[in-house]
Amino acid sequence: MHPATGCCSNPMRHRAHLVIVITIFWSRENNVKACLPLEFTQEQYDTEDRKLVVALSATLGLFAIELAGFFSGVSMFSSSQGLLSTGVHASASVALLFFLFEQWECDIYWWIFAICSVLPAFVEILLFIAVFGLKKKPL
Amino acid sequence: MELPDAVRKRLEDFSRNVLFDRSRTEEFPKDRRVQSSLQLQLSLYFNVCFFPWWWICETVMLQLKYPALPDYYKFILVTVLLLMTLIEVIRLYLGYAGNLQEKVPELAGFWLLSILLQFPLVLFQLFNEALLIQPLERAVHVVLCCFVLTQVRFCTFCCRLSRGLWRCGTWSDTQEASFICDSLTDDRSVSARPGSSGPGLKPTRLWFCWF
Repeated sequence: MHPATGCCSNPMRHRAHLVIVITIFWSRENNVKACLPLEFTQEQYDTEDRKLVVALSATLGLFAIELAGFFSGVSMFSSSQGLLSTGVHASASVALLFFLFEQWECDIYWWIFAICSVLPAFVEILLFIAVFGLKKKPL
Repeated sequence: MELPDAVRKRLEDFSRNVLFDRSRTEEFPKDRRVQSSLQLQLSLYFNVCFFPWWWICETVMLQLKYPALPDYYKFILVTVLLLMTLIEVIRLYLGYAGNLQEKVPELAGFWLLSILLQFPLVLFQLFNEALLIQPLERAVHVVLCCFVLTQVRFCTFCCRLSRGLWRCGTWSDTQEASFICDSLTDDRSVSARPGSSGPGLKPTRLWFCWF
């Protein structure tokens, strides 16, 4: 992958994922109701709502880690990390679009979170350790 | 496209009085160290990429919530959208011109437009609940707000640094762009030399100079 195209497409996919996560944050009511039985108490609603808020907040935290890695130059020119990041964030954007519009239940969000947020952040942290800990060149 | 002389003169005075760091007592270096800010250019580049999507989201959301708005907010929101579009285009152009060509009046204009016009408009769109703010609007305005804040921060620093060295020339040769070299390699003492690409500089990293 040419570094120039990677540098443009990666942040755009990242931003699309971020925008959808913030959108879901503010309109999560239907998704919470989708993973509750037809008759539910306020307590059950609050529990599921809290779990979804934790998942969304964790997603935002992992975004921050990836952005820090990208703008510090650690992974900006790394083709493999760029490809992985572009791929998972684009998939996350599409999956979360369905999550929002089709009102999927909130348990599905954890799968999307694991594959599309934890994985690229984990690779980013590995690159951090490689560059700053083991003193390897970023590229 | 150059700024009109009267506007340029006023922005020069503004940058001399407000953005110049009077606490700097040491002499500016005599070498032609390029003062363009990499961080500002990064932020501007991604802002330019993001701006069409922000505009599409904003227009679609306005069109969807238009019937539910009171009459005065219909007028206000349409005006705000037109103003923000116009200001954003001028702001990004001035930011690019000022940063890449090291023109402090353009940077001062960019700084003023960002902090006095665009930032209050974004805050108005973010925090005025009477506008029936939709989740998608919140998301794109948060991103735009972050861009504006980072640009103001980096522009302030860049203006203060470059005030002693600014020149009103045009960017004659991108091969002299050792500012990218300084930012991306360890050798901070490299000055602009015609025909040299600096230690470790890869030509692909000059994509920041697209203009």
